[in-house]
Amino acid sequence: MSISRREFLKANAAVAAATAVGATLPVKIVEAAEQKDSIKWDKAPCRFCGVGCSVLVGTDNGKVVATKGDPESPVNKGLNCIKGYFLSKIMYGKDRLTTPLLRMTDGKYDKEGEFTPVSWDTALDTMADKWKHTLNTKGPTAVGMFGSGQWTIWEGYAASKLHKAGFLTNNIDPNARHCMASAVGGFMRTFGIDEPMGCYDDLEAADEFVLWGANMAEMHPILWARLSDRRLSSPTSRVHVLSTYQNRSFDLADNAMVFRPQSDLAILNYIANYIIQNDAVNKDFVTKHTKFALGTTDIGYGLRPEHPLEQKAKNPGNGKSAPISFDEYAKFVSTYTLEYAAEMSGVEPEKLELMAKAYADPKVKVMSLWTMGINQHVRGVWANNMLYNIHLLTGKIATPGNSPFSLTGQPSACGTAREVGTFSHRLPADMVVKNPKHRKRTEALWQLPEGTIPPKPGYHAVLQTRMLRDGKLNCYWNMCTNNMQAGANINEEIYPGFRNPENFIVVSDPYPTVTAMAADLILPTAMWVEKEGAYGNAERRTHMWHQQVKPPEGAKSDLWQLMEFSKRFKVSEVWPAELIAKKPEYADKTLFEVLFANGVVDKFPADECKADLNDESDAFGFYVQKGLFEEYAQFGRGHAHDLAPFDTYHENRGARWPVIDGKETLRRFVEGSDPYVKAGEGFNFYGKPDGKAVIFALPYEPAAEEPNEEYDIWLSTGRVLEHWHTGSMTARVPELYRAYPDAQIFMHPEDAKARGVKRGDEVIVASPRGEVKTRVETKGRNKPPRGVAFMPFFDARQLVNKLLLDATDPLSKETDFKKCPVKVTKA
Amino acid sequence: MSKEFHITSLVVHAASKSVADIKQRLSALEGAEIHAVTDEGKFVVTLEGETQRSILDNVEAINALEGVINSSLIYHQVDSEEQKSEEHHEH
Repeated sequence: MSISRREFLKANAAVAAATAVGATLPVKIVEAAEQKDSIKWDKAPCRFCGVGCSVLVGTDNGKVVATKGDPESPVNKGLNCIKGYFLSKIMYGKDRLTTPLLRMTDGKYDKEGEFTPVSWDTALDTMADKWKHTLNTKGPTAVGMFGSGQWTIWEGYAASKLHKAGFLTNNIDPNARHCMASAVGGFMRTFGIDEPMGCYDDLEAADEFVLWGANMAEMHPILWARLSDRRLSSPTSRVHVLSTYQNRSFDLADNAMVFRPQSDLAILNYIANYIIQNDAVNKDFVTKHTKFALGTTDIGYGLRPEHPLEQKAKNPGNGKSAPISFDEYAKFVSTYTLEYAAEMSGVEPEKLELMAKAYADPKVKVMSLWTMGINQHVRGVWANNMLYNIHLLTGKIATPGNSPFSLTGQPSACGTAREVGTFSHRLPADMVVKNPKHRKRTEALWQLPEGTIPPKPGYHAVLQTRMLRDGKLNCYWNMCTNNMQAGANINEEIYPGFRNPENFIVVSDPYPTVTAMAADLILPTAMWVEKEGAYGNAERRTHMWHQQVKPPEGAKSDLWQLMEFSKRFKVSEVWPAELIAKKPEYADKTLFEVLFANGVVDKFPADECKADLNDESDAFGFYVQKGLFEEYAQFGRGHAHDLAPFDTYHENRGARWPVIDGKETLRRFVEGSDPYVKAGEGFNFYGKPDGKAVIFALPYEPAAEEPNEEYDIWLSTGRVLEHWHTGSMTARVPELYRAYPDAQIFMHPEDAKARGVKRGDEVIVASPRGEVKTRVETKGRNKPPRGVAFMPFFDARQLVNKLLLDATDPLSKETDFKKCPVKVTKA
Repeated sequence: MSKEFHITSLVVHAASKSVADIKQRLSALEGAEIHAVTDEGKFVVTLEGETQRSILDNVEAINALEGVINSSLIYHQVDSEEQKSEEHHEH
């Protein structure tokens, strides 16, 4: 390679970095970078977390060869984290799947057979036979799908429509159930409408930040960079960090607090009590825009009904509440004194008070940030409600820098799972299947007879695995998710369900994950820029990308798979006669014709796509993505979820909904920013019929299990910076794999010593549900206090989540991955 | 496999009291070059090398420097003599 080419490449790299921080470079470098290259650049959101950074993807000769932070993106402003930096490699793992694989013996499907390559036709025909047989013999509740917050918007929409309107089942749920369901529950209960009112701009406007369990330094590095900038450029700014163990975010903490697992509930009520006791309630705001309610308590742990903990609970799964007055609320939280919160949490009282003061001081703008610590919590919905309580009592909400902000784990948990409504109880734009008006509206937009969508919510994620094991859910399609590694209680629930001889399990994935290897049929899948896509990030930003490379020969996108599958069913084969009688002209049509070639989805010609590649439009003969998006967008327009016209998202770096007359909305519920709030209203929490947000009186209740004599240490599982979730992509990037190859258990050195082990020793970590072998780390990036341990779940050879009880928040059905008593012994 | 050239750029944010020290330490890293430093203490740095490993080692070394608040990777490109080769960069 010539020296001048090296200089040119280096100049390119330097210019990109300088652009990101507004630095000036010497002229000769800029000149060097202005030479031409054969790389073609196009934008795409990052494939990983919910921050929603935009990257520029460089392709050459049909392959992604370079990536850089997108300087035009308002989210990451040209920056990348280490995972984003290696995006160019996630599609090129050595074991990429390129053919459907069916378990067969002697040329026939056999659940105990070996994986054998088959054609796409054989794969989809075999599936269709299984589905038809099950639908005819057991009905629609025996088929179902487990989807993803990593689905593109149209994939989630097509999947949801196929199930709710095609197969007449609500048994579709996304893996977002494991990550964002409690956040959704919190929003719906407090505000009656999902997703944050604020946005990332609050990071530059806030004075003080409070991290509730979130380790942003590792999990949301780009937002952490923005927060760090704010902290360091503003001398009066302060960062309060709460966690059950010391982590990398503590490096920037002005007020570092390590609290006992589950005691966050007591701390939250203490802050509310502090605000009231110190006369810091914003009375005008509270009177005009809020009301108070007492929540039902002793609600159980979302376990199987026969579990002793459910038997013991007085009101299992009860989310009801009764109106109360401010005085009653004040009395309710009055027992949560500083002394009580300090005793419960183990945090020094002066630190708790310093944080409470920040919330109470009317002059201090506070941004609260949280993710899995609050959501993956047996009282996750409550914890979300209690966070909003604090911001509502003080009126510190929806204005610049005053922002309770629920961070997101997946790239489109918001855009796909939540907004499209791919949950077992939901429909698009926050509508629910239980509500007859919502069903009616959906059926009308979908040109379907009344009574098509079943009114009863389907099986949610955790219930799906239980129903598989019990033989009540028999045909099951997993797409874009890896539950055999991510889900809890694998040995007792998930694995027996997959291998139950009554069941036929399909897994669509680019790689042979643990889940794929436990299936009966594996479908090889196109990923990320191998297809056209749209995601929605944590700040309501919808953003899109074009297909930029071809997938490996044989791999097909989730969207193609769903639509191609729908061609194999005639309406008369899957709908009951009474329903067909309302629309007899549908009887001989296929589900594809009724759901996708319906005059709306197939309205736009394929040549409207401005990209060189669009495999789905080539396959179906119309601009599939645009048609699905525009049909879907009808649900939200005029209903506070307005999306812009499709084409604009291919031109901009995304926009935050509601987008009205081409203008995005930075902050909702507040006059002057949100077009749904009328002049003179100030604030309007219009998700509730009376425009008032609800402040909930909710108590501390204990975790499902606590350490005992045998299982004597709390285990929390989660992520590390280098890997994303189960590592199905990041573990295939050699550099990321080598940077963090094996999971470890992080423990306190004294805890290790007490068990006769030291750093680096092999240990068995066990719960009543199983055990894993790992190594001890006592000096790493995470430093737990005594009695607490942390282990990441990315390592497919150490399936740590099998140790966890499948206890969930009874309201959101989200599993608690953070509080499992285990024992650690020398291997 | 063809011979590769890896180039990476990053922004390294240093605490204001450590800017001089970090400047010296960054310059000492093999394959590292400082192109600019902003008033807020942000360095524009490129790293080059023949393997990704060498670059990643440098990234780790930078992250471990005392006074580094944050580093963000900006740009990454792999170039090879046989640009049109079908070979994937597998290790």
